[in-house]
Amino acid sequence: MIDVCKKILYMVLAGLVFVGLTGICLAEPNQTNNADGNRERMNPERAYGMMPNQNAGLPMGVPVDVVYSGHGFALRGNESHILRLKVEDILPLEPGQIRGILASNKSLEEIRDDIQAKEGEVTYRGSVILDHSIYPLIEIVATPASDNTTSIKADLADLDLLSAENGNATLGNISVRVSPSDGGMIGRGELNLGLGPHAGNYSVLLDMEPPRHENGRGPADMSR
Amino acid sequence: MTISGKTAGLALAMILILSSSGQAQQLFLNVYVDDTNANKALVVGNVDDPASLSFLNASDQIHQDNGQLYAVCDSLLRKEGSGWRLNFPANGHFDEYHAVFYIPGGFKFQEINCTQGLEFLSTIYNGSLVLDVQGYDLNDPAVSLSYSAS
Repeated sequence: MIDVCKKILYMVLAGLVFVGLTGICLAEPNQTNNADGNRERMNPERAYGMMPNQNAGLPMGVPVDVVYSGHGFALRGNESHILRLKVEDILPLEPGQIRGILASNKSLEEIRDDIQAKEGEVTYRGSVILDHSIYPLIEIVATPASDNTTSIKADLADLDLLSAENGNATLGNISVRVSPSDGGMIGRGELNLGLGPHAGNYSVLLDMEPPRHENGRGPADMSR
Repeated sequence: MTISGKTAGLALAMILILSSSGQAQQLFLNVYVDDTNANKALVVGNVDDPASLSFLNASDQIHQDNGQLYAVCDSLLRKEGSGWRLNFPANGHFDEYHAVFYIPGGFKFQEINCTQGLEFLSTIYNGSLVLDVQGYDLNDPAVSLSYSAS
């Protein structure tokens, strides 16, 4: 009886070790994507050597934290598309400002101090990835509610129109209501795209990641 | 302790060590290329394990402050022909990855290579060339881009 138990224990332990090792070893091989292929899928009109469009409305700055992150699906009819949503806190600093600080030959601590001097002006930067296409977000508004839910709304930026400083420089919008569910958080909402290869109206279902860091933000409206 | 107890303890210890060595991490960083000294770049942001960024080993200017990383690196860039190449490798498993590269104005991208699973978007912001690279559930993600004067 004891021998049988030992054998069972050894088999279970061997199985656990095998599972643990297998999870480490079964990594995807690194592959370098053809940049042309990626670019054609992402931005068909942007080929090698061409200057991408300018834009003046995207939030730019030093990333501080990931505030909201979720993955799931955008559904339209009998179609399902992989969807990712990410909203980050950033310290709003323009690339030119950073390069000015870098060129000033300041110490790294002084560079840090100059960057952190913006701490009171933390704003949001975000994006949606629909299938393989990145859509930057603008006008991001996150509104926590008293029942442990959060409403996230944002516009999807049209980089071409932003470059022309067009006031209506959006491809569409997304709205997601994040609420507790079965020990985690889910996001439900809508994604509306008026232009581009993904144009259409989708319902959204996301599995939201828990907050990376608890940053003590209050329940007030947090439009940035 | 019996032999079976020792074996169980060793096996559990192995599993814990192996699982912790493969833990997923997050990276969200900006890389700003200096326009006065084209070899220098400022890396700012957050990565769960700075050891996953091997190029930091060659930097003598690294500062970490409450999880925020600041580093001045001159090993990310090298001259290539009439332009420059920036290589940005990371080691390990990343469940979330977001790197944004800012190149000074007056340049254009010649080539952008990203390992499988990374998506990118290029744009220009106030005269800076911007490459936004994102991905999820990645092993050893790497970005390599070249640019030259426009």
